[in-house]
Amino acid sequence: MDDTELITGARAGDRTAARRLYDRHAPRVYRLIFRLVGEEELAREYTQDTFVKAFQRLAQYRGESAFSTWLHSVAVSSVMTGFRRLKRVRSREAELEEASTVADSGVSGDPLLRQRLEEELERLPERLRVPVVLHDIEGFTHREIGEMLDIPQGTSKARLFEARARLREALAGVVAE
Amino acid sequence: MNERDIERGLAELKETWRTPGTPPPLDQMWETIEREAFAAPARTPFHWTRTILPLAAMLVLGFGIGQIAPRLGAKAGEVPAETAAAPTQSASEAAPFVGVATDYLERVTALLVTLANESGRGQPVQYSANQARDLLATTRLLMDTPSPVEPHLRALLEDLELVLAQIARLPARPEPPDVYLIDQALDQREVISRLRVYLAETPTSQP
Repeated sequence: MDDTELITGARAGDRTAARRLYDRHAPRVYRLIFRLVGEEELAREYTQDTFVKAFQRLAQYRGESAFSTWLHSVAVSSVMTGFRRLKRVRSREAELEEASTVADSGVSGDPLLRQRLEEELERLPERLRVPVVLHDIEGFTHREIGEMLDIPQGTSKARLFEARARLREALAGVVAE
Repeated sequence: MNERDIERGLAELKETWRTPGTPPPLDQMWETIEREAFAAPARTPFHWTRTILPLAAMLVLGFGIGQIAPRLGAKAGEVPAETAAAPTQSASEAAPFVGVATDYLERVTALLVTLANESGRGQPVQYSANQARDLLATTRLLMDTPSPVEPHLRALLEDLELVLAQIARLPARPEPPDVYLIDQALDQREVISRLRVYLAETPTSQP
């Protein structure tokens, strides 16, 4: 059964269909949200919030984009709303990141550079970090990011450019070492 | 370090940056989602009753007091000085208006009581849209009556017209989820009972 059939069922109040839809997309949504908030408890909360909103607004989904894209938009919207509501998140991020980040996964590259990059990424303001995470780490297009953040594509590109410039500037010394 | 180095470095973070240490508790999360997503919306369409019924009851009470209290006072011989001095309509002239108004009050009360009783039993509400439309028409007749109507009473009638218009738009057979909302009528019963007492103490027709 594909997403369209499950969506039709969920719209009609079929909870089994809704559950299958949830099972299919929740892990990816949770991972995306965790990338943005860096805390499991918050990631669970926002994931729940995302699916509650999604099921309540399912009638608004017109099938113009993939369901996963629409769902990710709802997820990012939930997170951004949460960011505004929970200013304490940012202060928690540094210590939580330290606990949740895998030290070395065997990925090629300079470990020192990667560590510094992670640190600098954490230091970026939220408006710049989110586009970097969505574009460079999660692989979304600027069009999708624009829809998720409710900003023009050009703004998404400009923020990404500014974020990369700041990272480049901050990491200049690392390469020199 | 150039742009390409940054891009490559960020790409390498895909596998390591902020990856959840444990898989999400899907079942536990689903319980909350199911409870909130599939229970709450069913109540939303009938939220109007929480607003309309209390308002309607208050308007009816206000109307009743405005119409009946002066007559109760008159029975006790307490005629306000300005009322006695002012050139007012005679009892015979006011009688038709009072009779219609009293009947109107009784019917509005009956409508509210019906809605409250149906909801209290948790059964689908047997509701007559014609009844509401009829009351709405009566409201408009009272508003257009040539008999003098006090400004505050006219304002109440105008508000009540709006309220009854909304009730008249209620579906012929509201779905069961609306029933619980009319629990608000429990709060109104005291109001309606008081209104009934006023009506009982007031003759519906003049001799």
